[in-house]
Amino acid sequence: MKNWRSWLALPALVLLANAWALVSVARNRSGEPGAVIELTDAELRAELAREENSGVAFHLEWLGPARWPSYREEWLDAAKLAELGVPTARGQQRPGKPVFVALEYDGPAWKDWMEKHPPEEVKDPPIPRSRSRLVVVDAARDAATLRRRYPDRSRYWITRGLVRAHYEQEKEQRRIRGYVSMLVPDLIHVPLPWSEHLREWERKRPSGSPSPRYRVRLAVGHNLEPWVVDVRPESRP
Amino acid sequence: MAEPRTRAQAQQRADRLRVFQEELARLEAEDALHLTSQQRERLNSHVDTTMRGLARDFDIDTTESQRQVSWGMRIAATAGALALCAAVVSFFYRYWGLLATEVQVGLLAVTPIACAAGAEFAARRERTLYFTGLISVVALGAFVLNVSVMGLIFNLVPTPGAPLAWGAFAMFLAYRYGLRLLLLAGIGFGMAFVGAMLTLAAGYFWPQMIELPETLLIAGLLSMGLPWVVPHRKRADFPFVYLMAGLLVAFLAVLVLSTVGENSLLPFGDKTTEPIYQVLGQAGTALAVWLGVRKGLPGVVNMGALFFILFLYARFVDWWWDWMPKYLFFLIIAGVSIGLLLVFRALRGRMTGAT
Repeated sequence: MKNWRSWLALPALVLLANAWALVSVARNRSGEPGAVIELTDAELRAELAREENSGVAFHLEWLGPARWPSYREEWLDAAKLAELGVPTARGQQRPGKPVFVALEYDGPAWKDWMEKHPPEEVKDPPIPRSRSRLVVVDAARDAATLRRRYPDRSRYWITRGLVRAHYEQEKEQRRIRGYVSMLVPDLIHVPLPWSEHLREWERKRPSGSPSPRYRVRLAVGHNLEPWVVDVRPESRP
Repeated sequence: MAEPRTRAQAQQRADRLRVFQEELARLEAEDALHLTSQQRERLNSHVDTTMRGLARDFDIDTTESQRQVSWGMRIAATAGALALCAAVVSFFYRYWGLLATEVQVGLLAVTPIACAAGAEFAARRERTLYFTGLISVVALGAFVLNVSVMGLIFNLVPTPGAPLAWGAFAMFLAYRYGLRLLLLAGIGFGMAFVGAMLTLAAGYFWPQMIELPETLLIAGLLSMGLPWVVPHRKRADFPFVYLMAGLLVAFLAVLVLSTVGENSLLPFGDKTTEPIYQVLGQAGTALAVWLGVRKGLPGVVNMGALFFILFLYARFVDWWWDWMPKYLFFLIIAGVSIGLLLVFRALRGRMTGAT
């Protein structure tokens, strides 16, 4: 039987993997955050009531064709797809291309969409919260380019995404369009004590009443990895 | 002949001795061979001593009944290991949200180390390594959980470092204790790492390797070739696992590419790419059958034959399914199957003649 000394390579590997992750976290969160943005329960939907999983996470919701099929990211045209290097020459199942995207919160893109597509609820101000006000407004091959274009760090969140191309038949013409199929990460972990607060608000909610509203302060680090800075309740209008 | 160094080699020797004794008894009953009482005594004594020695040193099965029970133990150990993994993961997920981040990180790191220590402890106390294998699988499951949940807790962007670390962990356990299941897991993670790196090099997000089968084709070929580069004198049964795992992944990748050419990285259209991989798949599977027969590797022959038929049927579906009456389609499939049966029978007959 081999000796214990060689076995030590195994715990060393485990510790190295964990240290690597922790150093990566420390580097991401060191210094001034890349962005600090305040979002609501419309953009960050909490998943709470899970019997087999006590963890709480926010699902990132953004206004895009994946969730709203009638929505078109008009700026993702053939020229933009070529600039991003998204393969378009062949069929529709071609893999998407990883890019950096700029998400705009509660800005002109969302207001423009709401003006063009006023939902019934809009008659009753304020504008309903069921729709995320987070809109992908631009994409580039590197994050720095986007940050230069969108310097407001409290409104624009630069993150990673996957852009795919597909063809649409418009009248007699086949037109190529792009869409953001995925954002990375699209799930944001909620640590204690905020996870407990969210559970408590949910527990205290009278039965039949709408789910609790909250505002989330989210910081984004140098490696574009976000983390929750604060979660606070917000009264329903 | 060299003395057996592993349990597998010892088991092979014991099996040969048992078959030899059975055949000897039959030959004597058929009056084809007669041993003197002195010869018989010497032979029995030698066989008994050898069997006892093998059983003492390697805890092998010396009878058919023992062998059958061992299979049951192996199946129970594998099922138990997988169930225990599921229990560890489910337990963690049920309670982790109630723990502070520091405690979560600590627990995640300590669990695989504790399980690995348990595996080492078990290995020092048993020769059959059933419990060692079981605890090793749980240790790997705990390490996979560790790295993935660290990514979740800190919202980390996934990196190919994860399959690399899992593969290294599984390989270490596999080579230390001679566990083929852990080797298979290690090869799987290793191929995922190679596929991920090639996907990154091609300018894509690494989990997209599933969408780009050529990256996995290369990983499969590397797995097949590795035993030729790295000799396995001590773990003589390992090269076969590398070969079969690599062959399976490579054939699957080519099968996908022969049907969905759009996902190819080759600079041609899907109309050109698909036929290339169709020819490559059909020729590759035929080559595998031929090489398997020549080298005496029944696993390779079976895998080659299975994929040869799959490639063939995939083409038939492409060509005829949409327009041909279904009874005619299945009639053709049946006809081709009978044709293949005749080809394999002729091949078998030729092999018998050669023998």
